[in-house]
Amino acid sequence: MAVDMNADTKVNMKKTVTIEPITRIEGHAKITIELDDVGQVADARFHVTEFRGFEKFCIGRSFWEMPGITARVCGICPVSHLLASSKAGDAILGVRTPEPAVTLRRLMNYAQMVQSHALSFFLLSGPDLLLGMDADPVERNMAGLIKVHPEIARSGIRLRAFGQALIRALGERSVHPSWSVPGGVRGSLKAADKEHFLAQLPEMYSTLDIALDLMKDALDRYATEVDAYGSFPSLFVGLVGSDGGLEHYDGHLRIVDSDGRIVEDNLTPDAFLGRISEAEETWSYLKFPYYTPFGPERGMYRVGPLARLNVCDFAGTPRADRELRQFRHFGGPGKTVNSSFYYHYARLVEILHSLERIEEILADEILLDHHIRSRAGVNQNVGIGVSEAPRGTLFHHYQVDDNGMLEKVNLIIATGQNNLAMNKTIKQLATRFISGTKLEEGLLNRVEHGIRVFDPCLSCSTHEAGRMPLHLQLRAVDGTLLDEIKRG
Amino acid sequence: MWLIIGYGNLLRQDDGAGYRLAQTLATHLAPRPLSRDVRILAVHQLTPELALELAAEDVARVLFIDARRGQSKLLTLSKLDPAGAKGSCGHQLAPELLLYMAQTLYHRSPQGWLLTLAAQQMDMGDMFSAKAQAATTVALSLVDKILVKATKVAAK
Repeated sequence: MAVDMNADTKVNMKKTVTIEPITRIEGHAKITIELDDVGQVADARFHVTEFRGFEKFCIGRSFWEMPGITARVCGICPVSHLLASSKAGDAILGVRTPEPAVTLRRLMNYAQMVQSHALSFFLLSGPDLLLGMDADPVERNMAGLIKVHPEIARSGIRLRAFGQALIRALGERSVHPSWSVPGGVRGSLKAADKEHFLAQLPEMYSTLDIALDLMKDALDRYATEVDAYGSFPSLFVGLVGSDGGLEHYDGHLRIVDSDGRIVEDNLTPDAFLGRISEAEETWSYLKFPYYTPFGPERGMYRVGPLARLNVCDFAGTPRADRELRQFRHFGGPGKTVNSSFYYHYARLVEILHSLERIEEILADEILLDHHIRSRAGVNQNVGIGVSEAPRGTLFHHYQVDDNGMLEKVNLIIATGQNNLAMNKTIKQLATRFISGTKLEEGLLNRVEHGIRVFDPCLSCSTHEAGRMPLHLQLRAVDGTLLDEIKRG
Repeated sequence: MWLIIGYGNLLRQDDGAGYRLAQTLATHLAPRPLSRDVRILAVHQLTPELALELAAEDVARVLFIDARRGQSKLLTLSKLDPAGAKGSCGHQLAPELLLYMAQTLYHRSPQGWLLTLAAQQMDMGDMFSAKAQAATTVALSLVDKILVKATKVAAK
């Protein structure tokens, strides 16, 4: 599929390419690419065209309700909101959350990493990675993947189902569990469930072996392209443990630059948020956070799996550490891995690490301890909760009155923090792959894939029967429709 | 065995009508013998692992229940064709694709239908519009009749 841009006859006409909606991401967004007079890319933008409004919706409600409400921001990463919200609630209570509760929350968070990353790798990015960026779009989708690689699709579904079932075993349901609460959790894990999940782990590790092989094949196949997928210097931000290890639930924030230097370390959530500014643009509902001391250009930072592997000193589990060493070869000695294409690889390392942590926790006798909740009233009027969501660092910042009613709510989501980097990625891809003569479907798909590597979650969480098709229009600067292609 | 999957977001007003109907059906059927032949799931959205539920050996028929805006009739009921599966998806799937997955990945072919409930408002909120409430009431009665009839046919 191609669009002839008739460059010979319209050489003086500025053109805009619009890709809307972007498929295989959560939520609604579009990409526009501005071409200059000679058909070269002048600018490219990632527009988030929906407004969530959850923060306003929550004002005046009790902070006790927040884990249940904010978990409904999205059906894909409800656990992340549940945990960040509960941790903000912990801070408002001002009590020590019992260690068994913390362990159970960690367990659910690892299960969430497994299910969310499995969906991203196997079923959302899988069609591009396994069928090829240039494959016919009629086939390059989940149905096509199932047809051509049914065994891979089955493995991906089993891995995702494993994570979902573990979440359900803890929280009674896999989507929107309201199990974690300020001060702890509502219930523990049954002994029979422990054995059930332990028995499934060998199969899950085998699936990861297959996935890692597929990933390395894809890296060979796309070796000449990897550097176009958002490969540029930026800061990386993520939680690390007190020992500098890979961390997804607690610890402190670390900022690292592309040369692998630690810019700041041991930051509390409060201190980190004090160093972040949020720029705004009229063309997107998503803000553009940056590290204030470096300004909007140099202060651009990335969060999520790639960032977490770049900021940590080690993973802390044997299989993941082995894989992490291989992963780091792609950055060079002492440097960070800078191409956003490696988000895919990083997700797999994180699934491996999560499975190992799940195995450790399931074998830990702390799960038998019944002290899983501390009870108190409002002791602090401000609470900040942070956790690592599959897509990156997530902050819930609440201010309450003395009765616990919310006066201010600020949710800082991972996808927002990657916004500057996502925009820079699509510009890099568009510049590399699009020139003024033709719009090839495969080239446009590469631009879309530049967004998919971040696995953004725009969280509209609404749906109706039927799907919106992709509709790409080519317009002259005066708005005249020059050409268009439709998909679906 | 019938598998009924109602889906939607309860915090987006009418969007949650399918989810709510599934919950109501579960309560409505629980005391009756009929409930032994029905499995009901209320979910936020359709996700790939639901293919495993469709592929369960005892599942012969699947009824999906969703809300749809811009629908003039209170209800529509349509037979689903796995061959019509739309391949593209975000983090949620079309019901046809789940049927296709059950067929292609697990060699199971339960028959499938989609029941859509008329929706009017899908903004932030947990209240249903009068139209969605009416659709839910009528749908409850319709699904009950379908299940009773299917059970009688099976008994013969």
